[in-house]
Amino acid sequence: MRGDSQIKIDFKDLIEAVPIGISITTPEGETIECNSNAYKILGYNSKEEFLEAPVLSHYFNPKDREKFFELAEKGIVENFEVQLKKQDSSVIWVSISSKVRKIDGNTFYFNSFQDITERKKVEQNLKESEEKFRSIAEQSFMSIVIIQDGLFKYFNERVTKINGYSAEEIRNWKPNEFRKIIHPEDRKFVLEQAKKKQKGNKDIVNQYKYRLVRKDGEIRWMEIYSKTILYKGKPADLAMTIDITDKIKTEHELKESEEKYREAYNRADFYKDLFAHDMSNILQNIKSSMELSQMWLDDPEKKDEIDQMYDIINEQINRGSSLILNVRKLSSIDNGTIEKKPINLQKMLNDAIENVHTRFPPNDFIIEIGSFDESSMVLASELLIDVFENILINAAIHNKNKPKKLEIQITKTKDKNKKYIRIEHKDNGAGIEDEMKDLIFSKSSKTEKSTGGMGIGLSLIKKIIDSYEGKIWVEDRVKGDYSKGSNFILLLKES
Amino acid sequence: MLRIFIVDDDQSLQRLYTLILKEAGYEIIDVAINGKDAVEKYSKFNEKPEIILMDHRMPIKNGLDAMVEILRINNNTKIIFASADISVKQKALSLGACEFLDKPFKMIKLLNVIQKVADGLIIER
Repeated sequence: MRGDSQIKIDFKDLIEAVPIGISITTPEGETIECNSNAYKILGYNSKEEFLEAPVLSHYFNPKDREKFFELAEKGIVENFEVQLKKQDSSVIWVSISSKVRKIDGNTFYFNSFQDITERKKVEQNLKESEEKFRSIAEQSFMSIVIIQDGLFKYFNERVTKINGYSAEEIRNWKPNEFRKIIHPEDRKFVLEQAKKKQKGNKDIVNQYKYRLVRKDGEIRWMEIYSKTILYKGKPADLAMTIDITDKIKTEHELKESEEKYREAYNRADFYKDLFAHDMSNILQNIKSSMELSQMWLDDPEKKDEIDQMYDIINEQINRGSSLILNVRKLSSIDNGTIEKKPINLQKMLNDAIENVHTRFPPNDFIIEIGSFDESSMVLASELLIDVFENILINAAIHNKNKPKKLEIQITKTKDKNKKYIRIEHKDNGAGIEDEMKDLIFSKSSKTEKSTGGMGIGLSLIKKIIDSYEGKIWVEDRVKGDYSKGSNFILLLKES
Repeated sequence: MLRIFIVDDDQSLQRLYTLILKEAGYEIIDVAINGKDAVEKYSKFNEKPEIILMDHRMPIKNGLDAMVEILRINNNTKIIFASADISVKQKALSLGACEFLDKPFKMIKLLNVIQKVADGLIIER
């Protein structure tokens, strides 16, 4: 018996030692036994006070007592979470587990319970926080997604509207299937970022732009703000995206408009510069010639010189007219009013040569054309004659040889699978130094200032050729020796 | 007789300047068609010109750059700019040009400016 008694004492100690409340109650609402934690949890100072208090008086909501009975009918109650009233009437949450025992025909509940008020508060806060998040997210104009393990664990309604997939389709996506809504060119970067954020890595980019591919194939520009969060105890990628397609479109239009404005400004500046320089020189020539001829007017010995002055005046008037004509042509190219069409190369070239020979007779300026397919057509406009005349006149003007010679060679060629006709103009003139080879074409509204010299002739023809999507450049006729003459090369699209 | 060197890429103007200045009694020792040509010719002159009539906007090398190089060879040479580029006037004068004529100008103005520079040269001597 001594041994039994010892066991009994140890068991009582154990009951007292456990950090939970333990009690024995009856269906009638009496507490017949408890440990000290039981009455302390409910704020009683002594076991006696606690045992005297009816069980029902501990319930904050009396109906919960009935729930307890319902649960107890199965013989066992597990983790019944309920609000109880402490002796001072304050309310706490407890979790009750109970076993029903029948002893001598009487029913007893062997209860254990613990205070879970703090846990409940945390859960409540979390719940409220989640509710707030959901409430904000659902009303947000942004797409909000929580990605974890490659899946959209949470997404708001906006996501379905933006990507065109239904909520059910998105929920059924396999891990990382969401990659299909990212533009292939942006996919690598976006997936890498999403992966890093799901892992909780530090080297991430929180904000960037990417293209989204909707279910119907439409591409939309998105701006994403994302970060790593803890979702259900694990790192996840919280991504908030906004559709910026309209913004991008507007920015693009604004940029285009700015470019057009800048181009217009440069063009205006170019024409102003052109007139300030070239017209000043023309006027200087005319003014000086007039003054000299007036000075010599009464001197019969100066008749020849006066005639020369008139020639200069005439020449400068033509130069001015040509300048105005060229500006008009430049302007028409700038305005895009030049219509491209198939042009017979031979006819155009012959017309140009005929015109040039009225100024530089065939005996003084020998132009030879090598054999070529005379039916060759090129994609150009009527301005092509200006191109040829300009090249031919330059070849004559910058050539002091007698006779001046120009050899034209025409061949067919291909560049990036496109068919071109290559026209080479090889002269025996003064040639063009290497440092001038690009400059002679550069007098345009895109350069700061004109370079002087040839007026706008060559810049105009370059502009014309550019409008045909052709090419023009100059090389030495004899490679490495510019003084042996130039070779102006034209590439025109075959039509 | 004062020697003048004409630098301008406009050949008609070269011819007109030459005619007028010769008529006025100056010696035109040469003409150049751009800044590079001017520097090369200037460095080869045994007898340097007293005055250079210089355009600014010319291919390969402009008048300002040519002036800087020429003055480095001989700081006594008087350089008169004759240009339509009024935007470079201040820079030309600050870099050493003694006068700046805005194109188009009257021939009498050119002659007056040259005379003024010539008078200065006589005083210096």
